[in-house]
Amino acid sequence: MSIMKGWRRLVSWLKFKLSYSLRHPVFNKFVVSTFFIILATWFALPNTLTIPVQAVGKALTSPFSLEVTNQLPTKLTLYKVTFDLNSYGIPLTNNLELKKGLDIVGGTQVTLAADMTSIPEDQRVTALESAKEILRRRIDLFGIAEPQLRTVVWQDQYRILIELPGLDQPEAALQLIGQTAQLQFREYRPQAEENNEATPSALAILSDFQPTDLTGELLQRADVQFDQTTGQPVVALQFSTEGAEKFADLTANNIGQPLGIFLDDMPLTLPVVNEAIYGGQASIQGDFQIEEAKTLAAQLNAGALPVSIKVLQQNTIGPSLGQESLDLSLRAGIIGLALVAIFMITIYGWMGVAAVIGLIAYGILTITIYKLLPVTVTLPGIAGLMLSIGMAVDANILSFERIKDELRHGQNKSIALKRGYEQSWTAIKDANLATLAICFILFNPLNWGWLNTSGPIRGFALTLAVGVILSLFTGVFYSRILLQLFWQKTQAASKSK
Amino acid sequence: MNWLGKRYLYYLFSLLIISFSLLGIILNGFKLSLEFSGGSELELEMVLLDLAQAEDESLNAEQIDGTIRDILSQQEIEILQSEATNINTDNANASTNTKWRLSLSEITEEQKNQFLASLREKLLGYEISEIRFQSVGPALSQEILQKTLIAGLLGVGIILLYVWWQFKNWRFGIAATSAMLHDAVILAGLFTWFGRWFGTQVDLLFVTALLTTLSFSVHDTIVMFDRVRELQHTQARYINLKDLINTAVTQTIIRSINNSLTIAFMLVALILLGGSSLLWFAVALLVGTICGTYSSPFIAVSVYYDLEQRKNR
Repeated sequence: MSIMKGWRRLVSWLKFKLSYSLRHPVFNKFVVSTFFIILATWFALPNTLTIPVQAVGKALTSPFSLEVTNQLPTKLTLYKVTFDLNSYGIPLTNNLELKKGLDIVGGTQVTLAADMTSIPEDQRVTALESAKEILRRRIDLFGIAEPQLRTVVWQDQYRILIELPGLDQPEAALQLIGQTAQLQFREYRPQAEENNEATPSALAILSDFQPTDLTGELLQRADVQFDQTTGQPVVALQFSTEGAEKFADLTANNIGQPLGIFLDDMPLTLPVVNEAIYGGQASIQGDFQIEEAKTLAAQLNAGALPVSIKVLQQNTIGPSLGQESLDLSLRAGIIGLALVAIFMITIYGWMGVAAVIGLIAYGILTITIYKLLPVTVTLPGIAGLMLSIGMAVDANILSFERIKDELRHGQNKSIALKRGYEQSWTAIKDANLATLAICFILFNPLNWGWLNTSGPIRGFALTLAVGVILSLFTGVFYSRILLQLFWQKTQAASKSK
Repeated sequence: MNWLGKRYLYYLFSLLIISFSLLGIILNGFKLSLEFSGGSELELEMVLLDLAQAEDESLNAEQIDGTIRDILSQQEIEILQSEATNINTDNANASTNTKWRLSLSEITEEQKNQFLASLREKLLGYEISEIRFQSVGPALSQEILQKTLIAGLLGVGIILLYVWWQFKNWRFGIAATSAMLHDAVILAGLFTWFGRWFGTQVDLLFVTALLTTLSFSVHDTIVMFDRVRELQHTQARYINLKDLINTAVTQTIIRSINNSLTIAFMLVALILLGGSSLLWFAVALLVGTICGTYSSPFIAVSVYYDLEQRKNR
């Protein structure tokens, strides 16, 4: 009976709360932002969550000395309901993993310098981009998942930065990377006539192409142009005088045959020759998307503008080093957060509770943003995250101290709350803008060559900036709504007096 | 409370610490990490799998060190430092399992592989695994140093202009910047001493910590200045500047300490439990947090007051 009584009392209390809340405008804000946070939780949760249940089972059953523990499953795996809108053309999915940086998963980071002395000045940037495309192609052939390649130009230095996650034996890859690109035009000369009838295998076809003396040095450059009649993107080739003659011979001899354009002994494209081409201007037509045409042009350019490449710096990190640090840092972070939560609740009471809920929301939103942007999690990044938690708490402390002041001066809670947040806002805004300014310099979003372009510092700046912006939402907006809800009852009571 | 009354004491205290820091910078210099100094660094883990195979002379760290040096000198590679630490493994020969950290002149991938091959030949029975290899050319290290300095100076400049513009008074800007530099010098100086005592290196992470300290320090200072400015708008007619600033400090110092405590909680947790790779980074941030908290009420505010006094004189 007493259970029923308690239940009824709880229901009526909830009903009262709800009926009051629904009339209050704050409640709507609360519902909307909480819905938003729950939605974010859906993104933030890992795809599968494994809980070891045996420990729980034992703890529960041991006082009753039941022997069921042996039959209990040792692990309970929960699967998240996922969706993926990519197939409908919307790039949104919650089937995402946190992207971990090189210092966590291990891998190789290489800085390459390109020697541009033989390249005319106005074509150096093109040549660098081409060299990058070639490297990407080679790395893709090597089968490394998600390589990161960036080019940096500073004064007369032309650099390519490469990150190869998961690769801890980089010898072979480095050797491949260091080569200068070799572009060759090859003729189709089937070796065995009888094979022509049947469908020959891909390998046989490759060996059917014979090298000619037309090589990349005789190609001046390749560009993406648009066909005047169809509007389709085509790749236009421009040969040197010597190259034009050789190309004319080559095309005249191979009308109706495929022409092999090979890069590093692998075929780039095999266009069919329609007619003999004189004058050194040719174009490759095909069902290109604009991006495909650009890539092909860049790869051809790498042959036309061969750049020799030197390793300036390399850094190989074994995976165990990082994973261990990550686990330790995460544990430290959770303990630190718990301490912060205890501290806030001890000092600020209910306000502290609002701050802690805000902090939890902050954590969830942070992971969601990291997954969606995506932000690569590195060790300095984790430090940036921890620091931004401190700043998120600061927004709360600033407001709470003001509210306390107002309460001390005898204001009622709702006015104290309003004025507290209003007065603290200028300080919060000014201080956070200063932090964002520092983040801007560290992140160097415009990729200025005279500022740092190193991955770790950028990771730190990005996580700090994301943290500052999110902390404004959870520390100022959300915790204020929560406090307003907490204090409604007292407000209602003081009104009825 | 009369905070400003004791400001010469604060100046004296800061002067002492800054002298100590500058002394450290002059005496010790910065112990630059690989990114800044150039060269190569190789970390190896050696686990003795088969005791029977190993020769007697490869069983202690000193002898292994000798072997390493022999191979390196044959390859004409300069060795700057070698450091061995014991590692814990489940393996039976735990006392012989070591982690090596070698600082070398700049070497290529091939040279490193050659070295490892010879080492494996010499140290039979050991499993030798490469944990980390880093190599930086001298040109690049110079450049990183230069860019880092530019980033630091740019940061200071932007903060000076920002505070000046936000508070419409250059004295706020100068005061905030001097507190910021005060913190930066102390942090940098302290780390030269750490370098001397514990071999701590100045690396890119340290630079990140330094820049964060700048930003934290100014964050704290801006909050105090904001209160000073607010009181100037509301109370300037009734009380003099000294009392006004004292009130502002009294009103904000609790918030300042509470906020620093929360950050300190996170950092102390990271220092005690976070593992070795982020240890000195966390220490640097903690020192920065303490300095930043101290300098805002005691240095920035005092400097601002003295600047205003000069104007009135």
